[in-house]
Amino acid sequence: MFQRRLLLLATAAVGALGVLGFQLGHLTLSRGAEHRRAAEERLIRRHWTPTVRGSILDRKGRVLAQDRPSYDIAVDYRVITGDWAWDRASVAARRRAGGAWFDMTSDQRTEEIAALLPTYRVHLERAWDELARLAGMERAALDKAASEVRREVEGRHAYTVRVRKEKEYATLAERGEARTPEVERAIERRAGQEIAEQRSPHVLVRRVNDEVGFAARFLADEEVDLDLAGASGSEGAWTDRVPRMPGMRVHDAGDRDYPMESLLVEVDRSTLPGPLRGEGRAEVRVDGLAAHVLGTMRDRLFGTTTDPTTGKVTPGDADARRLYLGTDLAAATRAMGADGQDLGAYREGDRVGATGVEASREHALRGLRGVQTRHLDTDARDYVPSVPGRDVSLTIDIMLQARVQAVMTPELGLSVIQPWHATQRVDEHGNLIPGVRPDGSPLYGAAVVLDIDSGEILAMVSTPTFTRQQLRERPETIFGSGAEVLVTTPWINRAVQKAYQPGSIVKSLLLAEAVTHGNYRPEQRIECTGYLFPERPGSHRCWIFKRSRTTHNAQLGHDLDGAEALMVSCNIFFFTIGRRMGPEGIADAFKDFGVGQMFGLGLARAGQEIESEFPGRLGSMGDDPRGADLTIGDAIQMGIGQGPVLWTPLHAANAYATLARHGVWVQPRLMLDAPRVEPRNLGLDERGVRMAMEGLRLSVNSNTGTGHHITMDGRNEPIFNAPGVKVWGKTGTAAAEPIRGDPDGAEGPLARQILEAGDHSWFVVMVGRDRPRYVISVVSDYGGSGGKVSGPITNQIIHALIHEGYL
Amino acid sequence: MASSRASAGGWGIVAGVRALAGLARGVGPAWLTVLASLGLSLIGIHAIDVADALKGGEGVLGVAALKQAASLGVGVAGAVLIALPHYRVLGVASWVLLGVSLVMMVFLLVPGVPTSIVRARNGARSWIDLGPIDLQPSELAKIAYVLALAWYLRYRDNHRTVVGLLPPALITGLPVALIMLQPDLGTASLFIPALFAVLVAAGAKLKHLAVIVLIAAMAAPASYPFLKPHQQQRIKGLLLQIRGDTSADQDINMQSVTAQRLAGAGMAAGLPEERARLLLHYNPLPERHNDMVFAVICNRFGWAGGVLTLGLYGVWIVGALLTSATCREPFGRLVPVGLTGFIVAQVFVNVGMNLGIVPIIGITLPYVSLGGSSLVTVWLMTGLIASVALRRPRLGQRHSFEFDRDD
Repeated sequence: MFQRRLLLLATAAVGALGVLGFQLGHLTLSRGAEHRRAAEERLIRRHWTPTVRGSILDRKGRVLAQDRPSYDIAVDYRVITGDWAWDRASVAARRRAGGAWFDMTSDQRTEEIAALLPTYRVHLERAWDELARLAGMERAALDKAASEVRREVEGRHAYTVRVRKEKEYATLAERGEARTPEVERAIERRAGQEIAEQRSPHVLVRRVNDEVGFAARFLADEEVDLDLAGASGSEGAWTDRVPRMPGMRVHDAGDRDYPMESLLVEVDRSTLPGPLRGEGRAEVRVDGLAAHVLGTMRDRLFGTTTDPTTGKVTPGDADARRLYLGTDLAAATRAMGADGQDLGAYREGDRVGATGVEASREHALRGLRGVQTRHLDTDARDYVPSVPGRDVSLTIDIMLQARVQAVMTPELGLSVIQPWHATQRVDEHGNLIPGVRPDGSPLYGAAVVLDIDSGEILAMVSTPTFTRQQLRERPETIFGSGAEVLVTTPWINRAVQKAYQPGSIVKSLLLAEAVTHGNYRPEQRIECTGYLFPERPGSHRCWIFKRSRTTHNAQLGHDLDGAEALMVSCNIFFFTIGRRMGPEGIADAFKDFGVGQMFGLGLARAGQEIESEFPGRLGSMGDDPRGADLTIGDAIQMGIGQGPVLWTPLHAANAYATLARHGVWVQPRLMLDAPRVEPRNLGLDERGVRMAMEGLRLSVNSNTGTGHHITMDGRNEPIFNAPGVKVWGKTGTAAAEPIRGDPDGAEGPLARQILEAGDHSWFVVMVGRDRPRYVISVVSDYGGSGGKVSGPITNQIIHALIHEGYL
Repeated sequence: MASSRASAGGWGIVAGVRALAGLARGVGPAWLTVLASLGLSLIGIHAIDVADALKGGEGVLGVAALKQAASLGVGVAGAVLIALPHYRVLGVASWVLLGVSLVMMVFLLVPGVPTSIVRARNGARSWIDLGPIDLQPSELAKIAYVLALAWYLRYRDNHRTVVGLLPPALITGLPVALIMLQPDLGTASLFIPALFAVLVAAGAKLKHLAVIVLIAAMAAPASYPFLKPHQQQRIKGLLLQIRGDTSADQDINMQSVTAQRLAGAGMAAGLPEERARLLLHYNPLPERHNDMVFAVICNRFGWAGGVLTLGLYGVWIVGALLTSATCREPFGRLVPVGLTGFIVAQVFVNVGMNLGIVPIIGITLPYVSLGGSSLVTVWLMTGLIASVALRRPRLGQRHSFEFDRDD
């Protein structure tokens, strides 16, 4: 039996050794290489040097966004509270007393410290004064910043103490232990311990420039001798060496600067319509220039998230960068440091492009850190200098952009409801249309200027825009849900993100398509009967019939050909074209001109473009955007750009550019280095294109054209007045869903009501001195008539093109 | 004269070799234990030298390794000394020895002893400072305890009843309680496996022992709130590691994670000495000379070195248990078993904490870790086992602890 028991013990012992052996094998064999790497990594010391993010330039090389060095000045919490003085005084008193310190009573010690305290306090006061002077602040403002920090930290400490105590007492109760005064004292002591914020520095002065930053840095290293002999009444020299600016630290806080965010633009008053016309120049201030295009930065890094309902994975910043480096070998090689680590990897505190080009070109703009590496074993040192991020050049001409935005600024008077707009306030039954605003109310909208030959976007304006200061300080005025913001939607880039019905501007496109597909022969004429169905005069009416109970036949004295129909924007003609093309034909025509297609401009980070561009939509607002569910009734309505079709101002500009190129589709571009997509020929019938161009010419050049003039105070005034510039164009008035909301916000007593209603006002033109060179597409939300509202804006954009040397 | 001295020397050598050969025959399997002890001690001296990292470098060995080598000499001498008398003499003296070590441990706890004699190290009052020598009474208590327990049980069979288990528990309880008061939970916990090993060998009923183990296992979590905060933290840290949570790697798990990193970095065959020193210097591992020395061995010699070290413990255990098996006399049978219990428990806890499967507890690795008291104690154990092996059993001796029912 004894031997068996020994065997049992031996087995247990060997078993124990076996467990150890197994774990040993796991560590050294299975995971040995990993551990070896981790251990060797400790032999390398790295010091990172900062890099600079690339700039964003306009097409002429003007800097739109750049990194600007800037600094934050922080101060240790104990200096902020003034405890520093006591700390230093105690140390000094103690050092002075030496061994005698231990024989002193607590009162004696306090007395010694108190004698020295004023000297340190005076020093602190002087340092605060100096910091205020350095930062160019009022001392009171600095004190206020300090006391705010103090209040916040104290609040946080109080909260932490409360939570700690609750936890301790809960544990105590759980264990069923008695709550003696001794235990309570211990808990109070533990709970009252400092929190991290009470030991760390806090930023008091933000974003100071180079000069101040450097000066602060030098001061932070300086020391002075405080004379303690006088204060303590002791004999002989006694000084304490203290920092000149106790507890002051200077942090790098590189800032993104948008030097052309705000500009002053001069507009020639002499070219403005009627009542606005005058002598000299109007000075217009534009803010938030190209903010939608340039985008914004954020300070916080995002982690990868998964949508719990759809399961869609949105890669965080680190993952997005890994994905990017995985697809771009050259970039991955460039970014690789000597030890194989990514020098462009995100680290806490990095700023990241959040929206617009800052987001879409994040990988190009982002620079590579420099790294100083020291191998502790061999003492080998190497240094990889930082590499600044690459610059990105936009196709935008920022001065043209500024002029376009100036034209659309309500202060100038064009983007304001004016008497001559003759904005409809009652419907045809004489009932007041709710939500239509009084004269003088601002109008918002979008404009796109596109270079026809290259497909480059020269200007893309959406009003109202926003400034970065507004984004920082009053984000609720941009994203809020108040009635005002529901109408203005500053965050939305109307040029590419907002859905508009196209209205009559599509008539020229459909004419060319109808000729191409044999739905209409150029020699054919169609009668304007006032309304499409003889038995139903209440529906499908021509606009001229609706307004003055007449027909285009009566006006012109004959049936209309395509060009004339465009000139007068005859609805009956284009209802007929729509009917003949049928649902499939008309859907194909719209698709030819880009409805349902995103342009991939690069206004959002990879994978999130869907939110940055509205692709357009055909058919019901259901899930199918391709228009398979269209009826013949839809086709008739779509003949005049109404019914189930939506697109954006950029779609309109690009469609007109395609028509101007005689049916050659070129992908619009927002960045000069964007890859060129092979142009595509839609194969439009040349006769159709010529007829459409003739109609567009007549529309703005013939007295009877809808885009020719505005009637003001009984006088007709031509819309376009730039000498020597040829204009082809078309007006459009598109039905729009009213905006509904609570005028006083969701909490207020007022119920939801219509905040704004009416039609969107379109004007799209091609301009050039010899042939069409540029397309200008303008929409004014709820502006009403295309010609009267968007026409003068378009005219001013032509003047802007002249001013900037394009025409 | 010269030649006679030479021939005397020659004779001396021959006599020595003969004596050794005779000893080998006489000692039998205990040689395994002796050789393993020696091998482990030498590995230890090298590892301690390497653990000095870049600070050593003067002379063949660093200061700590030299000190350890000196302790080894003392330890071997102690082993020889303790093996000289018949081990039953020690048995007779066992109560006295245990009493002396208990008195010393009480002395440790007496308030008012000058700090020059008893000073808390790492928060535990475990050492008596005697000028050149530091004495750790709990180490001596281990040996005295095994002797006393074996002496008590040698002719008994009442430990096969539940009530009969109480006196051994009491003998264990006294030193354990005193050591826990120091507090040195690690050393105190080693007594339990030793007690169980002795009881198993002495034929206690396995079901009694199983029930006790079961109750203890169930009661263990209840003891958690009574642990010191740092002990609780180490248990939490181990749980975090098991879950793969690296959040505590920089603080509460730092020692454990560093030990694992260094041990793993040895890979299969280890690192050249200079490289190992470098890695140890820049991966600072607290207690790398003593408690964490196994990680140093693995770093220097890799998996092979670790397995060799564990193998030597295996050889030691086999030697000790074979010694017990070939002995017929009850006291001699139990002593090696009790010592084995201590060694196995200590190795498992120490190596386990080096490899990240046991929470960090301050326990040395026998024969290997730096520390005079510890090294001398384990060599005394070696000596005791050799002593048991040296005394051939008398024929006719009744086989002890051979009970009919093996339950």
